[in-house]
Amino acid sequence: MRFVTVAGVLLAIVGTGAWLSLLPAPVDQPIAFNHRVHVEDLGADCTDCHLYASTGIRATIPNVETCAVCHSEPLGDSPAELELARYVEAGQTISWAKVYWVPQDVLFSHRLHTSVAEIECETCHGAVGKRDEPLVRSLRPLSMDSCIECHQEREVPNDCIACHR
Amino acid sequence: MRRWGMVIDLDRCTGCGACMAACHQENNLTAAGPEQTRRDRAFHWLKMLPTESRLGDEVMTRYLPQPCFQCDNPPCVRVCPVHATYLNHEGIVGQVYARCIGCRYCMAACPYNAKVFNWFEPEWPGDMKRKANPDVSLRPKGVVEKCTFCHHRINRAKEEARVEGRDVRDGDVIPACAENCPTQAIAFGDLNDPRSRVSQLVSGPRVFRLQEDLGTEPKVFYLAEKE
Repeated sequence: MRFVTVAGVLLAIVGTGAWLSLLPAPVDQPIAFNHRVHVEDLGADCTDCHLYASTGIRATIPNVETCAVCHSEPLGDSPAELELARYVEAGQTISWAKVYWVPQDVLFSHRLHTSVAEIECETCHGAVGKRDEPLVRSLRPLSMDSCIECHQEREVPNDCIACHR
Repeated sequence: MRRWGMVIDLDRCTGCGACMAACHQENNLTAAGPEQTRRDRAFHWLKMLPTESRLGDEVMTRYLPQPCFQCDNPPCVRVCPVHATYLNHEGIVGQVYARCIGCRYCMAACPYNAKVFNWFEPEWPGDMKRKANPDVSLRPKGVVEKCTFCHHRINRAKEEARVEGRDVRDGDVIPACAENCPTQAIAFGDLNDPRSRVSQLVSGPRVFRLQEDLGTEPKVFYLAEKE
């Protein structure tokens, strides 16, 4: 009996390890950015900071100039705020780590999906606006299967070279 | 449904090779360098095909610009074991590099030698990699590649049209070779649109295609030189 319990526990540990190893490794973000405060408390739109999400190919991750529009002076005394103030004062680039990316040979046009097809950001990115912690990994896996499934549902072409350049 | 095609006017073409250089730049082709070129590993998506014609004692050499002919009946597609090359709904023969296993059957099947094998890692000296065209992928070593009729420009033109809520107009898509031709010898457009420039040129008397008897149905047409 005891042997079965030990084996079960070991199997659970190995299984959990195997499952975790399938997840992308978490990344380190330079500042503990809080999406929820900006989106839910202050009513910011995604495109207020991710400037080109509706007009460009790439959504872009905001840099220090974008933060400085509101944070030219520190707006509080949290550690993250003070950290940002240092960046703003030095005019130093914030090296955010990308957590959503497509392979190098794939071209994903944001404006085609947001402006033309009118798809919500959350559809692919998950509920980023509800997060208090900075994103250390993507909330939704961006796999080719999910792209193709969505294209089939909406009856839009699934031509390989439309995305694979 | 569109059917993209190209018309090259040999009466205008001087064989200068500007199209070839433009294609190289636009599509992030690696430079082979002298050593690899000696091993016959240099490649171009758009070649200049030398042709000779005799007039009495005189030999005339001229160069034909030769991109991929985007055949309607492509032999390369039939032999690919992994569906890495296929004919898309607008008549472009696509290459999906992530699928290609580098077996080179398609190169053997293509009667026009339009396909090339990439011997090199996508590396450039110094700062040149940052100058790569972001709309075109950097192919990994060991895949087959070829001219795509600047398909990324077709995609871009379609996207611009959709954002503006209109259809793609004739002249919206100009491949890099056509854009850079100093004599405007290359026309590009929709062969299914009877009012497009290519349709009008194709209905003229000077039209021919290379090795038409093979039944590959190329979509690159040449206009013969006037007498």
